[in-house]
Amino acid sequence: MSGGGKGRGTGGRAATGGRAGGRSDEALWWALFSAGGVMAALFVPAFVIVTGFLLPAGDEAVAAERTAQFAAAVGWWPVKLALLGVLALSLVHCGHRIRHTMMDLGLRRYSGLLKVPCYGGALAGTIWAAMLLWGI
Amino acid sequence: MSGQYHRSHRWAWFFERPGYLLFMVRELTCFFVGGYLVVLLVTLGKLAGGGETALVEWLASVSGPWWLTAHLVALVAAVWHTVTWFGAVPQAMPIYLGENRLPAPIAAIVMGYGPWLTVTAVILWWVLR
Repeated sequence: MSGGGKGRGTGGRAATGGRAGGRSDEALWWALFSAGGVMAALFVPAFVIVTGFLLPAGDEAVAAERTAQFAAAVGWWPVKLALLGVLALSLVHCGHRIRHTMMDLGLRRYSGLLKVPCYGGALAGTIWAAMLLWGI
Repeated sequence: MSGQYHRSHRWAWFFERPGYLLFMVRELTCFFVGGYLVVLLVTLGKLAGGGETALVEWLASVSGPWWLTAHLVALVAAVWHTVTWFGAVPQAMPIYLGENRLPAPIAAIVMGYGPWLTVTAVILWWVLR
């Protein structure tokens, strides 16, 4: 999905927070932000319900059965791939939004520097997820 | 110098109008969603590192009231992200049928809320069946 930036004008936020003049990499981040926003919107509420409420709660027998089922599902390679994609895009989405929120709260002059923790964190999380899923 | 002009504004500008506050609330959902994603990675890490036994132990340790509260906050934030995200879809991606623009509520349901409820229903059905 493209064009997610259009909905973000409410706070007086410029869609291009990057360098003035020359080429900017902002378009790439906005595209990833939009794709990740869709993924997070579609999947995260259900994920929270499953891992936050359905798996931990309930009596032991039910929990054990659900956990085994969960482990089997996550171990299936198409689910692994899908999960990796959802996690990677959602992490970039969060990183981008955190960076722009920081810029809106007065750190705009550090927009370049903020890329390091925000996108670097998302990349680290993606690599972590890939390694974990590989090992399941 | 960046060469860009930025109008100065107060740090707490988002308290100045209800619309700004809603905007900031929407933006802040990403901190909770991000925090949950880290918890999800830890959960997957337990399964990868110690198999089902470690996963069961971990899940038992996150079943206390504080963890349930944290997950509830994450759920509210995640649902708010979903509602606002798909609510903006008709503006971001208008659909035209010939000359007529598809009404916003229908576009939001077709492009967002419908798929979301379907995905959620399928995942929950799969876990609860």
